[in-house]
Amino acid sequence: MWRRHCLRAVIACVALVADLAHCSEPTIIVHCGLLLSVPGQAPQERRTLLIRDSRIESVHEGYLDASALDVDESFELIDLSRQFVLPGLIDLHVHLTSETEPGEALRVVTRDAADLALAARYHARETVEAGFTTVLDLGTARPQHAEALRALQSAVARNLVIGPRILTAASPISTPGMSRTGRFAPDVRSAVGSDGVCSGPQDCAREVREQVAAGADVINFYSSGSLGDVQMVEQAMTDDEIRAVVQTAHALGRKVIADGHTAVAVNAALRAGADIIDTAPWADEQSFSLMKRQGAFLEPHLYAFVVSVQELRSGSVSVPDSVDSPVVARLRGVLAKPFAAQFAHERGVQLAYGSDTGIVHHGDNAGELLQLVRIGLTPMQAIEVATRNSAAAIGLAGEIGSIEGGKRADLIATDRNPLDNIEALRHVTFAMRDGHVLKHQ
Amino acid sequence: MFSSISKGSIVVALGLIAAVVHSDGVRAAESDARDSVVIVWAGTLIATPGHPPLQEQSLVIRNGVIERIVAGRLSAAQVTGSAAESVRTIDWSRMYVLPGLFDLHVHLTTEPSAAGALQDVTQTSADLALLAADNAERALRAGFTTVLDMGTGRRAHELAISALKGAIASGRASGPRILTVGSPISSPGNSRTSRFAPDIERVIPAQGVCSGADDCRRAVREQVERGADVINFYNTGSLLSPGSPAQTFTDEEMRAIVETAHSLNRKAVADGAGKRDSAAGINAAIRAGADWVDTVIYPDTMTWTLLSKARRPYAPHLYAVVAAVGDDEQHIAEGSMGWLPPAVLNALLALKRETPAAKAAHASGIRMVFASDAGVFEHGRNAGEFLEYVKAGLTPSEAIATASVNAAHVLGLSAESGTLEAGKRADLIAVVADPLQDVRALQNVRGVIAYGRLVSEGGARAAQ
Repeated sequence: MWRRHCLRAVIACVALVADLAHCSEPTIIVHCGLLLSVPGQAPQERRTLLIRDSRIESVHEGYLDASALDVDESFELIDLSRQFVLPGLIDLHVHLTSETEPGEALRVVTRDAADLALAARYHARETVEAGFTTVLDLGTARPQHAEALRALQSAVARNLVIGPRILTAASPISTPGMSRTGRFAPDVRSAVGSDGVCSGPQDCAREVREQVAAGADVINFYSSGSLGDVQMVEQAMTDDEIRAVVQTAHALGRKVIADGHTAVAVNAALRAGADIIDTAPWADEQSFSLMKRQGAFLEPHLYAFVVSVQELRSGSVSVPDSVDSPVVARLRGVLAKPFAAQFAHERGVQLAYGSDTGIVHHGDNAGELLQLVRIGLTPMQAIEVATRNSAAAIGLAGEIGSIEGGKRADLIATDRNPLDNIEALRHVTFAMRDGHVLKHQ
Repeated sequence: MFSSISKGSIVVALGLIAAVVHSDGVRAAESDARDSVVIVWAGTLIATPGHPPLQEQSLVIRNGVIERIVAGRLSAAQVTGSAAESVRTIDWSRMYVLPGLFDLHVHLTTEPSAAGALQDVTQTSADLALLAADNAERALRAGFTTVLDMGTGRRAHELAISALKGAIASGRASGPRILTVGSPISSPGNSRTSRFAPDIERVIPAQGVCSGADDCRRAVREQVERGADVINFYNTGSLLSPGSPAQTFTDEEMRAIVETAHSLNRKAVADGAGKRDSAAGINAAIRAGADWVDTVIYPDTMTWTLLSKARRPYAPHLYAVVAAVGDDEQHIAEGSMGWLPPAVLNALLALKRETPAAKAAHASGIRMVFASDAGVFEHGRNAGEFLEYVKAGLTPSEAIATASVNAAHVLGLSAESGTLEAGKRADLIAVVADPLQDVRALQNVRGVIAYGRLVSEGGARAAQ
């Protein structure tokens, strides 16, 4: 046992030498039967991708071999010539540390960061195997969750874990009483902790900085109360506080997601310059015109409403789930009318993709695609939402969202053409992230 | 949208069910009404290492346990009692099949890396849990279906291992059956953890430290409370600490540790690794009743006699130094490793002395148990230890016994593990070459079945 420390030093120098020898990723050639390289444009038959150093180097007509591609190093050939190939999907609303079985409130006080990290590891694999190669975890206010996620993010980057590229919001910014952490006895509550809580513009600006320091790639804030509260607060932050959050995040180069349900909360966030509006079942015409004018995205996660009502699993921390729960009734009310997202889409608002896994089962992320088609998007438009739009919404349009020279080698494949039936994307047979094959059936 | 907590009147009831599932996860995962039956065709079956192998056998596995072993190739039709069963046949008829291997000394939360001591102050239990999950998977694929994690003395490591045990039990992670010591029991100053500034030490104090017989009883109880399956104690100083004592606990303290462990139905292992005069510590641990001794570099004339009289085994780890720096002592001293600080270099060279110690122990008829110290080198290469045991004079069959019958026996698990017999856990592996001819065959494990669950099929096609 004592040996660990001395031998580590020895092995380290050997490892360094080995690393230099293999510092680049393997070269990969992929033959694609039908390639949707840029969602929105028609797919092309018989294409060859050349992947070097984790990125798409070039896309070619026909099936080319190594010599035609001037590849003289060793390479791997992946034959997807009987498959439909498209960019890896992007989900901007996951909760990898959350379980979908009942009992989450108890798990908050029984699970530590190590347990959560291993749960998230399992969910990460389910997620990437479902074709989602980039996810944004919107977090909870629990410090243990943020810690587990940070560990998972670095383990994925080291290829210790099979999972998607993970971006995080660290912990969401909220005001006291609005952090959605559950109700516990006061002494337990202080031990459980609540991250990201602030009051007053200066304090909220500081809290944004704290989350960025903790590794947040994006800032998420709760502009309204929760759908899960019996008395839902219409707007949970003052306009000043919201402006402080958005401006501080932008100053630090972070996009901002406003998780707001009511029109007043949505509109206040939009006026402050939020980049993405999350949920917004009661967004109004003013919201839509603000979104259009500012180029903001709407991430509606419709499927989570369907699942909540079907499975009576609202995620509420204040009301037990049951058939006659006021929260479930409220969700059912949302489902009874056309989704706000449908009007938004009809008025030309850009949508972004979010599934809210944690409510939705991990690995069922593609369920949202079907909902998007149900509210009137074509399959091609739904795929655009889950690729190009979502990449643009978080400022990664230059990196992910299409299969073009210079982009990250994130691609997935299906047996059937999802442009004919979007359901095909529920059966992904191949997934690659950063040039690593993570699924190949 | 909203946070994903569910709260309800059924939560308590479900919590109770969840607790049951958690404690017996593998069985629970398979508990949908029908039995899971696996038939394994074994070309050569080394059912009980040390006994002659059998040819052309079929093992019938039901719900993770070996139901029977019969000659010939049994078909699914010959096995099923009712049509409701799902039967899977694994064809290992061209392979050598033997019990899943045990490794009684691994550090799943540790990897050979440049970060060294810095990891203690940068890695959280979440980081370590993810690393350990990857390492556990490597160990299992390498054929090790039971491992004993020997701990590091850090709380974050304890938490990571405990979480991983839970994840494996619930089927959320793939890995061997993990037994853990929690943190080793040590006396102040002898915890073999890296040293930090005093204010940092206060934040991450070494765990399992005790002084005085009563305090050491408390320390043992605390580790058991936290989930220790075995108690590990540091009976000698460390080679790396020049001033450390030969014996780090008084005889009375050692007796208190061993007795308390035994009273809580836990075995106690003494982890040696002391410097030149450390035989006193090792001999004291044997006298105190340690169930086995791990690492004996500098035995004295009494050591093997005591061990032999106590009928306790010895766990040498000879491979770690070979894996890390190669086989050639001159090369270490004069070659590429010459830059190392003299203390570390001497410690490395001292490790080489365990091979003659193991030879002497074997010649004295001491039983050996398998302990690789994986974590010092890459997990998954554990089986490298077998060849070193053969170099120390064990026959291949004896070497295999160290990681099966002997290991199960010393852990008190003989009734359920260590051999392939009816009524035992279906932990078995398959290799393509005859390990009784050349133990290096075990460095290339093809097929793995852990508690009846197929981990690697070994390239053989399932017959149906």
